[in-house]
Amino acid sequence: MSFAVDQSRLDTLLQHPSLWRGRGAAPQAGYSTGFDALDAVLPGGGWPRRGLVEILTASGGSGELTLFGPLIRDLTQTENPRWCAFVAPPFEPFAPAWQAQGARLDRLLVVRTPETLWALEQSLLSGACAIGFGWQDVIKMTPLRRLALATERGASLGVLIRPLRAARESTAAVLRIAVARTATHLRLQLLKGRGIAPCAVELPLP
Amino acid sequence: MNRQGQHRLDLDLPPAQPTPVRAQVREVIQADALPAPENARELWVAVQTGEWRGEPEAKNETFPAALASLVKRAQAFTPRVTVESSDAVLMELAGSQRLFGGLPALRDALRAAFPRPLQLALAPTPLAAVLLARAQRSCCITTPARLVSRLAPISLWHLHWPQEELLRLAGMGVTTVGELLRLPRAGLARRIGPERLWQLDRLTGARSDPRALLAAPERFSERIDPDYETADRERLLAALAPTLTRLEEALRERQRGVMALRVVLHHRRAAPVSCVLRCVVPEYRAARFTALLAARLESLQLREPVRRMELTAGRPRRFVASSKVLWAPGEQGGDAAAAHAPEFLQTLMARLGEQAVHGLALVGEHRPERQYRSVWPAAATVPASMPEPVAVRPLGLMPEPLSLKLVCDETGRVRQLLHAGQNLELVSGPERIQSGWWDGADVTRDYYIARTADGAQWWVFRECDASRRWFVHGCFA
Repeated sequence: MSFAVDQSRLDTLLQHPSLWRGRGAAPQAGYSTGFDALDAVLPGGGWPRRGLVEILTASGGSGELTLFGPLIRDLTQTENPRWCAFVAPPFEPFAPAWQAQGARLDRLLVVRTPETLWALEQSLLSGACAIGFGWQDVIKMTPLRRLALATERGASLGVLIRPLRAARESTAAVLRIAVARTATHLRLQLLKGRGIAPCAVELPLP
Repeated sequence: MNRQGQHRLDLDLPPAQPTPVRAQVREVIQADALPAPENARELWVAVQTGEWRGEPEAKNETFPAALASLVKRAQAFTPRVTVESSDAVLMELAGSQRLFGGLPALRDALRAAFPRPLQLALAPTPLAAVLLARAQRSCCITTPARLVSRLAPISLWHLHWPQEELLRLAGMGVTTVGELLRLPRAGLARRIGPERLWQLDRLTGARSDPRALLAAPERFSERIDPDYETADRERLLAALAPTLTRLEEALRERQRGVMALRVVLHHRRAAPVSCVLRCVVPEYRAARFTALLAARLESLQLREPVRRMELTAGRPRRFVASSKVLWAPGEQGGDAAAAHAPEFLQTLMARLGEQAVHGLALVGEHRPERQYRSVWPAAATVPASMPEPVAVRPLGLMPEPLSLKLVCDETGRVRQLLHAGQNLELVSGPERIQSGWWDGADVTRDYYIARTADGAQWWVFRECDASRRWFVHGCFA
């Protein structure tokens, strides 16, 4: 009887982010993704609050930003919102669609530059951006590490959108997810994540 | 006789503006033959360069460099500085005597600031001071009673009146100020005109002589001549550092910040390069300017070493200094991120250019490519009336619609649409968008959502005109 009580208290204690265990700290509680099925499998119960995430797609139009729609809405609608930066996107963010998603347009920032990695690092490092999106087909390990470090220092979430073939390369990202779109669902394959086994999730499209 | 009397009466009327109270007070005091109190008296100092090149054209023009530097030095003594002509700067120092520890000490300080080739003269009226300086009488007259006697031997030539008038007076045997003042007033007025007579009155102090004072330039501007020619970024910044520190001091004293800063880099042969920094909020810190300049210089391709630089700050603006928060951004205890936003944007804009960073705003329109526009970050406002979203819209729009490749059968019917080598299948549509007939950019399009084999969704349309062409316009990213 008393054992059961102790066990539950131990579990809550073990979930505390500042407690280090043998295999590392319990992951910090993340941002809700807006999809229950995804929250259930991601470490920390959502997108990490700081760190680099890799999204792999076969081509553009696979729902890679749709996946972050609820998050961007939540981040820009907070009381003191930080920027949401798109560094050199391959298209123009279409304001009416983002408005329809519920995002605050005056918190979206578009950076157009050939120096994408520098701009992305600045965005993630500054602390002024909550989330920064970058599109990189080819990126070496050193810049990846720099970006990951920048997210740690700037308390931001970096999202790198990359082609599927990048799955063969090693990465400094805390999460690596392949995204594909079916007629009614987003099909996610969690390829890498701290403390999770690779698995597949299907999310209903809004 | 009567007419003459009338004329004289006219002359005694004050000029356009009423006599200032101080002058009236002085007249009363002189009439009562009492010693004037110190503070009622003016003490004008003229600094004369010895070069006469005609009157300055306009009051607000920029002065030649030599005169501008004199004005700057004079403003170290008093804010009451004015420029008399192209050769003389005037300052009123009655109120500054005590600050400099009495008249002798003040004269020493003046002499130290304006060394020998420059002529210095102190007199109770501005014109007298200028005249004495031009006549190279380096003297100090503090009592109005002694003024006329000291002015008497000075040649009329120093008044810079027109040559023919001076010749006419010389023909009458009048060559000095004293001789001119001794002439009967009414006759003198007829000969030289009331303007000249009033000028003489101002010279002797019989009439007040209000002056428009020069305001110190509001904008900070400096020229930097490094001892070396270099294209090295670090060295250029080192050369700029003292100027930026002075800029910070100047702005801090005024509790102001600037929104823009321009540095012009001059080369020996190549055309000067101008780099303009724009800040999102008023800024005054030298360290911040240095960081922004470093970012800008890094991306600047200099073709030649830099010889000279000119730094000009924008209009000073009021700003509210804020204290820094204890917590780092994102840490528990405070969301300080908003405070970092201006610096972050400035850094991006300094290096990438202002056009590289923009925000988004909605436009009340039906044509998709005109439904948004780029705005200065954080300047987005929602227009009063927005068309309600009627259908699903893609998150990304192509800057230009991309033409789709068509595969037709022998009868000319379209069998396949290809985008980037992939077959597109139309899954929903059409949605007709027809608008803009009034401004010449009218569109009539049928929009569809199309999907490729690997699941990617695109927003495609067909022109409804004769061409029947297909385009991909958006990306359901």
